[in-house]
This record gives sequence, structure tokens and C-alpha cells, in this order.
Amino acid sequence: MISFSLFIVAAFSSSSTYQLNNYSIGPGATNNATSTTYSAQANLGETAGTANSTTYTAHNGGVPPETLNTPLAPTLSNGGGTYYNELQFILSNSNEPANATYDIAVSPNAFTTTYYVQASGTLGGTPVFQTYTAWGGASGQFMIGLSNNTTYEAKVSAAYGKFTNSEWSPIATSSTTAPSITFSISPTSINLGNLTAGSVITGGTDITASLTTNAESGANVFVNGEYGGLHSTSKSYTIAAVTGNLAALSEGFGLQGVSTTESSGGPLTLQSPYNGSANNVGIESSAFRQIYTTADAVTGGSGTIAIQAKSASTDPAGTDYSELLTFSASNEY
Amino acid sequence: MKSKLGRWCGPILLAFGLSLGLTISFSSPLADALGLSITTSPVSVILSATPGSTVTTQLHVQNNEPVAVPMTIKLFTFTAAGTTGKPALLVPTAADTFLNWAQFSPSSFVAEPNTPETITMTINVPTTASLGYNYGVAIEPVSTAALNGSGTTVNGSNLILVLLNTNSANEVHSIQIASFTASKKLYDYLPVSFSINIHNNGNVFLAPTGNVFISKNSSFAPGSIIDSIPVNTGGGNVLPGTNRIFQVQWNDGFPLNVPKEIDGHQVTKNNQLVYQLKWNFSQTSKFRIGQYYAKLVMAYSNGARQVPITGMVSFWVIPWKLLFLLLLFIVAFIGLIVAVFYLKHRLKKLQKMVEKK
Repeated sequence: MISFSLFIVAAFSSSSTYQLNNYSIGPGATNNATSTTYSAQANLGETAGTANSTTYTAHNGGVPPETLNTPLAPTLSNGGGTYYNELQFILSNSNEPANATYDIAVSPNAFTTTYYVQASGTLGGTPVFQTYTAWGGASGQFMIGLSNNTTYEAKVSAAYGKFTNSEWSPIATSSTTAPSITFSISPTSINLGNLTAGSVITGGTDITASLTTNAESGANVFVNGEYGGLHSTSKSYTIAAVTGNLAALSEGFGLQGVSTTESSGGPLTLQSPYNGSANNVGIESSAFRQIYTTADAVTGGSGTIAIQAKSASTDPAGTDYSELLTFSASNEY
Repeated sequence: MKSKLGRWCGPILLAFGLSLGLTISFSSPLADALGLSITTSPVSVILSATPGSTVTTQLHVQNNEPVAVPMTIKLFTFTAAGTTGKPALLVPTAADTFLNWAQFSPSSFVAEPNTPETITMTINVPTTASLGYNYGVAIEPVSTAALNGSGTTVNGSNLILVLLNTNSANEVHSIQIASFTASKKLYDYLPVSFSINIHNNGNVFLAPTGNVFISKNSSFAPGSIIDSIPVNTGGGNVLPGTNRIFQVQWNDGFPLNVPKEIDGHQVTKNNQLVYQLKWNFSQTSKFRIGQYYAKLVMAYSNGARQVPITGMVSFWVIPWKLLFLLLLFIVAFIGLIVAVFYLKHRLKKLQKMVEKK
């Protein structure tokens, strides 16, 4: 026979920080005491021993905390190896009540140091509980301000009403990458053929500059030249690079952006004075001049640039008028 | 501390390496035909070293073309170009002696296809160094392209921006908010664009970070904050004596103007993004209306502690087009009811007249 006596077990009736001064239990088996901030729970139970049936087990009077189900591990993503200062996380709400709230603990060192994702996505020292929807739902959210080239672990706990917070979920792991820039240029030479005096000559091929960067502040492409125009070493003469309409000028050399495109991100935009049409070209010189820019990360950014030249009948004839153009890509400081 | 010889060895070795790279008879016609493609990482580096010490960092390079390419390293310096964090790259002059403090190992090399190469950059900071120095490290293929007649040869270069802080005693760490503004006083829908203009009135580069907090309460009482938007999460620097504008957007609203995309590409007009209204009905709780306040809280390190700087701006969100449509609907509805009552009244009158007759 199981004998019952009044046995009160308050789950957290006191601690080094809090004390529950006034607490009572009714004549039933369990009771809950709540305030807007805290809740405590107790029950009546046996003083010792364990009562078993084929269906239930009653332990010796202690209140097994009514914990929520342990959430599933969050999904962490580094965007296919492109995120360097952020990671995307998506929570799973399949194990929990509809209005459960969640907090996300994050660590770069196996939880020797623990941070919590704040509502804004930054990492902070205190847990922030939000609903599944507030954490971005099925689309998730980004935790931001992370270090690059670092492996982060993340776990989730859930809270709901008077339930004790769930156990931490299994850990998900993902690594930030390093910010990088990939810059391609082709072809590496363009022949202009004969520079017929008085005619605007266009290179048979356009230059294609391609740019991909995961840096969220974007990138820039600059151009500079060795001679500041088409230079003939044999004739010691330079057809100077200009900004203007070659059709109206007696001679000159310059660049004209033809088009820009990107697979995603960006957009990549052409900068003045290279955004002219017809025979309007932009100058180049030994100074670095910006030809393309993007204010955001870009994938598959591409710009085509045409070369145009015009010689005057007074220019010394030569077959070695040439220029070395260097296109340089950089991010921001 | 390194000897004078040691300090000069670097530049000499670098120059030797560069000239060696230039004089190697390495022709890669396939690369000329294909073009050049290089990936470099990181994109910028912040280094800190006291005068008389040495500091190193690693730069990573990968040649993405299927043929080996001889590579070389060139050094430039830079300052701020405008207020967006864009570098104004400068061709070195004789006065830029700090470029000679940098050495690279290797200083020239042949980049094998799709093989990561690590370059160690070492800066020997002399005891005479003070404040900050800006290096533009250009990693580029040695141009081997040949012309048949007149034309242009084309080369590509990846630049890594390196900022060195020498932590010297005469450093002044100080920045201030030159302005904190919203792009408009009145918005019909989010996003709200904020412009944060930071002026560095010190003498060494600084990277302030922080948040813009949004509230309907100008006192930002506890619990009244609706949202917070991180500022400068990328850790962008403000160079001494210059301004840098950080742009952030508050876009947690319903409905929301988002960049228009066609086939995954953002649409631009006159180099500006084109926006369209997005109605995500799962976000209806984020319908914004009324006056809002934005408080900027940023902080920077003065070497000993974090110094906060703050600013505030207010703006209105009035979805007037939506409200106008709603008003129109209400007026039409009331008009309809009035019309129905009027017609009923007239009908009754007519019925009475008919009955009298």
C-alpha cells in the first residue's frame, strides 16, 4: 500500500538570488504559484520509493520539471562558403507548441565562451527569446558581426508558458569563410590594326572584366595606363588619352564601358566618364581611375569595355602605337 | 630590432624578386588567350605594431586559369576617395618611404592552376614610425601579352588594402558624428534609409560600430525599442581627417519596398535601384504608421576604452496612398448606403403616390 503524506517540493522556491516568501499548496496533488515573472510548482507525493504501474512511474515525491521537448538542431548556413562575417540560421519548430519562444546560443570555441543571438542578429551576453516567426520562420535570420574564417557552433532552447525551458538542442556547426575577391580580365591584348588618320578605330574585341566578391561593402574596378595614351616608342609620340567625343576631336584614345551584368548581388555600375555612347570615351593615365563599382557583394559581375582610338594626319606614322592598361579590383578599407 | 642592413634587405630582395619575375622568360600563350583570373583573400587587413617591432600577415592568392601564371607584387598607397570607404589609389612617390618597410615572401612566384598560394607580408616598423600607414598590395600576373602592330595589352590586378597602426604615443583617437539623417521626413512605406556621416578628427584610422535603435518614444524608454539595426558590421575604417558615410536601412515593415528583380537581376535606372512594393501578409503585425525616432549609438576604441557617440533623428511613416484608398472605400461605402436609403425613401414616396392615385 502506498502511503501519502503532505510533501511539498517546490521546484525553485528559493535560490541564492530569489526567495519565494509565501507559498501554499491546496488539498490536491499539485499546485502552481505564479507571478508575472516567475512560476513555481509543487505536488503531493510519496515520501520515498517509487510507485510503478505498467503505464506510469511516480518518483519519490519530487516534481519532475515539465520541460518542453528538446528542439531539433538549428540549420546553419554559410551561403555555400560565401558568408565571412555572418551565418544564416533557421530554427525548427516541429517539436514545440505553436507559441513557444526560442533562444539561440552561439560559440566560436565549443561553448567555452557563449554568446546569444540578439533580436537584431548581433551576438550578446544575454539570451533573447523570440517566437519562431520573429526569428525569421522558415526563411531564418542572420547572426551577424562574426569573425571570418571561424567555426561557430549553435544550439537552441525553447520556452513556453509555465514550462521549464527545454534542454539545449543538438549542436549545429558552420564556418565563416574569408572575405575574398575574384577578378578576371580577358583578352590580354587587343590589336587596333592600322590607325587610319581621321577615322575612329575600335578594337575588334571588347575587354571583359569579371568580378565576384563576398565583401558586403562591395568592390571597385580601377583602370590605369602606362603611357596615358597610345605611345610609339619608335616615333617618341603619344596619341594622348582623352575624355570626349573622338568623332569631334582631331585625335585621341579612350575607353568606353559597353555593358554590365551580374548573376546576383551588386549591381555592378559603370562610372563616369566611361558611360558614354557612340564615340564618347573616357581618359586613362598612370593615375587609378574608377571604372566600375558595386556597393554590395556581387557574384558573376561582368563589364565589357571598348577601346577606341583616332589619329591625326599630322601624327608620325608608326606601327607600334601601344598602351598597357591595368585593371585593378579592390574592396573598401 | 633589426639592423640597418636587415631593414634594407627587404626592399632589395623585393626589387630583385620583381626583376627576376620580369626577366624570367615565361610565356603562357594559353593564358593570354584565356585571360587572367585571380582570387585573393582577405580583402583588407588591419595591422597593429609598435615602432621598432615587426608584424606579419598572410595573403592568399589563387590562379583560377588552367595554366600556370607568373605573378608579381606591387605596392601602392591610398587615401580616401569620397565618403564611401573607397580607396583613392596613389602611385608611390619618393616620399612614401614606409613602403620600403614591407617585404613579401615569396615576392614573385609562379601560380599553378587552382592552387592556393600564401604570401607572407612582413612590415618592419622603424622606431621613427608614428600614427598609421596605408598599403595597397597589388598581386598581378606578369604581363606576357604581345601585340601585332598597334593596340593595347591588358593586365589585371587584385589589390589588398593593408592599414598599419603603429600605436605611437602621439596618436589621437577621436571621431564625431558629422550628421545622422533619414533620407526623408515622411515615408509611405519602409524601408527608411539612414545616412551616418562620421568624421575622424583624430590622427589615426578608427572603425566605429554600433546600432540604430528605432522607437515611437523619443525617450527610448525600456521596452519601447521596436528594432535595432547594426551599423558598420564589416568594420569599415574612417581614415584620419576624412569623413565616411555609412548607410543603413530599417526594413522591418509591412508592406515593404524591395529592389525590383527581373530573372534574378536587380533592375536599375540611371544607376539607381528600382523598387517595388512587396506584400508579405505574414508580416502584417509590422504595419508601420506614425512618428518614429531613430537613435544612433556607436562606439570606437580610444586605445583604453570604448567611447560612445550618439545621435537622434525623427521621421514619419504614413502610408498615405493606402489610407487614401481606404478613405475612398469608406466614402464609397457610405455613399452606397446613403444612396440605398435615398432610393428606398423615393420608392416609398412613389408607392404612396401610386396608392393615392
